[in-house]
Amino acid sequence: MTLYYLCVALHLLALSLWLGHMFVWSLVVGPAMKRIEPPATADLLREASLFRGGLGWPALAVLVPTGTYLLQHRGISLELLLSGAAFQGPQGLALAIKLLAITGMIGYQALIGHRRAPLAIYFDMLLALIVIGASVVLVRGWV
Amino acid sequence: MDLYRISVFAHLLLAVLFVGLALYWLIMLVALRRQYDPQRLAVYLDAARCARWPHVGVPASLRLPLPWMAWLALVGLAGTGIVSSQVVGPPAGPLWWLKIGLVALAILLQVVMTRRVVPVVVRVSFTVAVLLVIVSAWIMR
Repeated sequence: MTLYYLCVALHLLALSLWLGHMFVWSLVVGPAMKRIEPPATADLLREASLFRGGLGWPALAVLVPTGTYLLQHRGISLELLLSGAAFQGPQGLALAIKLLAITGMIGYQALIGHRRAPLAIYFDMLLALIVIGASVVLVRGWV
Repeated sequence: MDLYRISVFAHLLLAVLFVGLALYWLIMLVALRRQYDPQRLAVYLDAARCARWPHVGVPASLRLPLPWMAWLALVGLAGTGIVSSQVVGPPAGPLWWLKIGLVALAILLQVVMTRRVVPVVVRVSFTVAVLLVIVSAWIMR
């Protein structure tokens, strides 16, 4: 059970750091810093805020193995995933939605990553919200 | 989706935002310390602290300074936590009380951060945010 909770903790931590960075930079910090005066200070702070960015791949390096373990803990093996049997029923639907959204986020990470993408980032954030929602349903059920 | 699941979703999302905000200050501290002396560092951190959100659409006097984002997250986390507890029953045990203690510490640190961004407080705040996620994972039911 200790390994289970450790994986849950690491999974949530990687998720929080990656998505927290994404949401906060795109929705809060980035816009807020545009109005800092003088503009030279705003540019300096914006540059500083981009230090050590690009948390996607490191986060995925933790999320994928811990997620795989957590699925196996719920009786969902790789064979069931590949055969499609894992996607049967209401919980299977939630799992399918989550994995599709994750695939989309990995695609974004591969094609755009940490580069500036004013519109695409909103799509990525929407996928992130879907991942969180599907995760809640996976663990707590639909009703 | 019922109120409980919506509450759990909101709690997770607000936790993500809270960790993201703590990470932001840590990154700013690390990035600025590499280039500037402590006096300039304090000036730039204060400038960042005074940044207001949103940057458009709202009169300047109504825009919230950045530290207030963390306060909004904390209030939301408390509210959604209470709603979830009403459904699944009150939590208990030493890990639960550890979480409450960490929340109280996070609130105290946020009081300091609202007035002044202090490097040691930034580091401790991030550590507390990380510990909150870990402890919360461990007491998941």
